[in-house]
Amino acid sequence: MPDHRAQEHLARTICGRLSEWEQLNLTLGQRLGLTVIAAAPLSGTTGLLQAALGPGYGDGMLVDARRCADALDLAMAIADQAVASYCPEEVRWWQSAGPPQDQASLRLARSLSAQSIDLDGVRLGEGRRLERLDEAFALIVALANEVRADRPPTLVIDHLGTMLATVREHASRELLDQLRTIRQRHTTLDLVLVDYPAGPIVHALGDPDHPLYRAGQTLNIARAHPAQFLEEAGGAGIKLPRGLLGAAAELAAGAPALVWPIVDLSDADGGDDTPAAARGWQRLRDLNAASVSAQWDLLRRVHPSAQTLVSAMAFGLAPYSTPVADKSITDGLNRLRDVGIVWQPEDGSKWAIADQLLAAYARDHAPAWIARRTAQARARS
Amino acid sequence: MASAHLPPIGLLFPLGGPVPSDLIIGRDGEIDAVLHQLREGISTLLAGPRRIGKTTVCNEVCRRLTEQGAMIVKVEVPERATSADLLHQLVDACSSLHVPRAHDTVEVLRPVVERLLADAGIPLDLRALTPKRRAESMRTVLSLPSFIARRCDRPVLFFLDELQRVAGYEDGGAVLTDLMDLYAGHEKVVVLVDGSDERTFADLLGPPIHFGKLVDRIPLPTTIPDRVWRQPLTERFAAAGLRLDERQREAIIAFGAGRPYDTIAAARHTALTARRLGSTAITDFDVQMGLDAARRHLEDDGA
Repeated sequence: MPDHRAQEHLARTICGRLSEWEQLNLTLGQRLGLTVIAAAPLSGTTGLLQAALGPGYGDGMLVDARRCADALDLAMAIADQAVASYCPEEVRWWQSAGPPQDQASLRLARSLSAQSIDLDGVRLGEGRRLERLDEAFALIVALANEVRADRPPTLVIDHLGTMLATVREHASRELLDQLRTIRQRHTTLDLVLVDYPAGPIVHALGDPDHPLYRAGQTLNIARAHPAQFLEEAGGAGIKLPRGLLGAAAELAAGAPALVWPIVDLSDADGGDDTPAAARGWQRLRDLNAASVSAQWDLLRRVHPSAQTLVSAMAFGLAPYSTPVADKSITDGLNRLRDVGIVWQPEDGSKWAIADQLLAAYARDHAPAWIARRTAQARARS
Repeated sequence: MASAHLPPIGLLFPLGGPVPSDLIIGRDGEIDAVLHQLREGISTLLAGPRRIGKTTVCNEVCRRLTEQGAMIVKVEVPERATSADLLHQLVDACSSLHVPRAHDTVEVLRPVVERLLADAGIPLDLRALTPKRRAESMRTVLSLPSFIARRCDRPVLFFLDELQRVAGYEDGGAVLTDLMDLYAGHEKVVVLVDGSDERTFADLLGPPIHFGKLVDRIPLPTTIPDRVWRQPLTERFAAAGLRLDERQREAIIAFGAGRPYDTIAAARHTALTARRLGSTAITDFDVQMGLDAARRHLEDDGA
């Protein structure tokens, strides 16, 4: 990426999250051991992490746990990332099913085998899950020592909370226990686990009966308030009409993944910024219409009450005001939260839809009773 | 960002796991007490709540005994449904040992362990065994530390970290019974156990398991006296390039109330604040911000 493009990308990444950006760099730079990030959905945390782990911020690797169904998948993803980071020239062999052929891959295979790492097990995903996970971390440490011994490694497992929410409780507990053991064994390795607020890892840190109890610290990364984009744009070096940026941030409810596309699609021509932002928003909706409607259909598979709950929230109704049994509402909200569809912006506060594109779709496709009930509620107030 | 030449705060104020030997604060008495018991051949249980430094003390005991020629078999008891992974870890721990021999050579014990297991008809990967075969093999595997002590003619410390987890295993009772049968009164092997679940341990020590027949219990105090914190804290901040005056130091110590986790959390967050601001001396503001952050940290932990 050319320099000016990289600078603009970084500016957009940190705009609205300057404080979190500083905190994240401090956390990574000061080698705090195990950190659990409680990231609000669509808060742009992945972008912040990628930027913080980039050149100049130490030896960091980021693995997306959404690719993984269990500890074995996770072990393979970690091992793949370790090879890609430390010996990119070996990636072709590593990702093949064959034995090492050239001298470099043979040397790598010999060196790792000498450290009791079952290369084929971790490369091809064979054998016992937690053992392979152990070996994937041993691989990171071995490669880090061999390639860049002066710079201790950092591994970020992004979206781990989302993955753990979909596995059985004992499997989640075993995996977190193993991660704690691994972290204590490899003291040079810093580990950052990304969860969502009130997710399973955050909960484990505060549960005296859980193996992960007090094994690290939590770093909260909230979603930026729309006003923060305006406050921090100048400092981040972003030159945009304030009206346009402010309107885009409001439409996106502070989600950076939506704010910048709205700005880019706005065709602002120096005229009134708010209609330009609205045009950008409409274009973004049009571009994403197919995937958002598929997301809406998939809600039925998340929970039988999911569409009802999302519809109600899209109109500002409290989930518990819907004609659904309270237990079903609680189950539905928990499931929707686990997959990042809904969240509570403040601890214990009102539930909200994370993605404004889905919220807009829900408003356009809500069942008739919701619109009528909303009208009644407005009339009463 | 951190100054490149100063050690990272996380390394100077470790939190959330065992502390390296050179950073231990205020556990000399307990370390000596455990060492004394073990040297007298008394298997020991170090008991206390979580996150007060039990594993740190045990690791230091292991380090000192290693220096004195003992062999250490350390197993971190995993959270599982059965003993399969624990037994596998024990085989691994014994296999990775080596013993100095004449002419600056070392003997690696893996082939010896593999031969012993093969002779007993036990595969190297114990997790492949059926529950019945595992039960039959358990005693042989648990006796590996004893075998090593005899084979090498050296004292062995068998350290089981978080042993209370065994109580949750389907076959946990058999593991504990075998441990007692094998190691109560053993001449060359002493067992060191740490564990945090007081209620579980109370159950294990009494009937029907009677684990108290094997181990003597030493409780680890949950707090460390204020006077013990003073010098190490000042030195630790100095190592971070930060001057810590008496008033600020006392505020940190008062916040921690002697509890190791709370005190180090307060010190760590104070040091982080100062480093973030580029300070070279800790100010009242740094301490206030640090204590606020530590308070939030402890609240997140459910404290």
